[in-house]
Amino acid sequence: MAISLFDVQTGFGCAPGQAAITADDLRAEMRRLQIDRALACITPENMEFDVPLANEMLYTACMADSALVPCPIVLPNSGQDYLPEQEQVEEAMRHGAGAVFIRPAADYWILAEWVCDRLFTLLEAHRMPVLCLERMVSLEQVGGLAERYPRLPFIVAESGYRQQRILLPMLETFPNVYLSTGNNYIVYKGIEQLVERGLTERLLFGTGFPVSDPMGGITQLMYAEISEEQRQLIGAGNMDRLMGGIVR
Amino acid sequence: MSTLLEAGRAGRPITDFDILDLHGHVGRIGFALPDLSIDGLVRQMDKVGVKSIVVSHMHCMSANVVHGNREVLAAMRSFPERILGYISVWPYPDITEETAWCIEQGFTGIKVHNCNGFPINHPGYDGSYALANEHRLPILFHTWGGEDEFAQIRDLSARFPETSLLLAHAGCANEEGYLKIARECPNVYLDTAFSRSPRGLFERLIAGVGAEKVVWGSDAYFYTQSSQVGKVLGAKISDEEKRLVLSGNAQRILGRRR
Repeated sequence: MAISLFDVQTGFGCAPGQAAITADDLRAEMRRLQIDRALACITPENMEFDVPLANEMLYTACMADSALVPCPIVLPNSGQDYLPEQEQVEEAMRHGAGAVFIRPAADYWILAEWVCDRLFTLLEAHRMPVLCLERMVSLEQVGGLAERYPRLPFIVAESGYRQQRILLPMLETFPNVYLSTGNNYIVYKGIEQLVERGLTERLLFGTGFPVSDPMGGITQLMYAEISEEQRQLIGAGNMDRLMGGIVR
Repeated sequence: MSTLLEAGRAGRPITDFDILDLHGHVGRIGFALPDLSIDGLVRQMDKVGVKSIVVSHMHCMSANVVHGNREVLAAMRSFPERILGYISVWPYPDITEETAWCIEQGFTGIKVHNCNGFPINHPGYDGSYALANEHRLPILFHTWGGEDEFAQIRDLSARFPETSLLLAHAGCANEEGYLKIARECPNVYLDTAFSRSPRGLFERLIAGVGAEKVVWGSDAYFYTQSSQVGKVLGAKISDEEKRLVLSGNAQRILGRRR
């Protein structure tokens, strides 16, 4: 059975010290490695700081190619300098977003309720998954958000290979937390352990491109000691299900 | 799609040549690892298609090297040919006798980690390095791109020219420094183990020093072997070069033993 892959940890944008990675570059790499779809972000956060422009670039690229599913940046309009939260969420839905991307430190906000409750409450109403990179949203913070907004799915990505002591109880405690495999979750037998603990449906395939070589994420999944059904769920099925749960 | 890329994408074990992993570990470390068993490691090797892995004990990072070496020996005896051993060394007390004993037991090489606060050319290692030189064994060094590390490696390369010096985590920092030393020193090789696998790094190492000077190490079970093999299988280089990195170079290095 050919395993379909839906990469939840990828994107395009500036690349420090190198030519920018374009949506075409991402698509070329997806074709080369037979990755069927991608939840695409604009990266990196320190160089793509103009949120309206970044989202416009993202939506334009994704409209041109159905294999790319946008993951736009959202932020609380707590400085009254951007779109109201309602409009941001509507815009994301209108463009078929599969998740939204939060970058609190990069966009200069914090996760206190008095800053961002309006945003998360709206996202929760739509069951719109929220992508959290561990270097921007700590696991402890994700746990806090998952508890505060129990019907809102959170996707943890870029988690490290030394975090299993935190990730396992996090996934067992919060049914609305999902984990991206691939960069940098390369825990030896980590996928196998989480699957054995009944957490297959909470794992999502990811590569980390363009920061990382994407093939390591693929072989991590393809060589994991799990069943083909479990591999298929992690490869694409779980993300399809998550997207199907979005209240549009 | 190349044959090896295709195999990796499909999750098929690589069986048409013998993959040798020159950088592995066994034993407990501070963070959680779901499976510390040697059986489990061999199962993962079978899944990927790795014939042999050379492991040192996690205690290469502590003074308990003798304890670690005994556990590695037990693993080697459980799975002959599949699990090969690096001797972990520590400068005090004199480790030469332990090194000689381990070589007699069939260990394959030496592993040196510099997190212990000693430079890797500390005189306390010289007896072990001399034995490695005599038997033409490889020495795997944990490195992190420091110019001080490279100066120490240059010193060792000149003094122990019959050894093969493997620099772990090549390109994790100071990429140019790694390329330079590998070009300069005929017995220096670059090891690919690195958790983050920055895009294009592996290809740059190949372009910079040639496939003959790069060896595959997974660092399992620090990292999972299944992900670390991907950077080679998926690289934009020829299958012939991938074979050299995954197998040919290691065969040549291990085959020099006398």
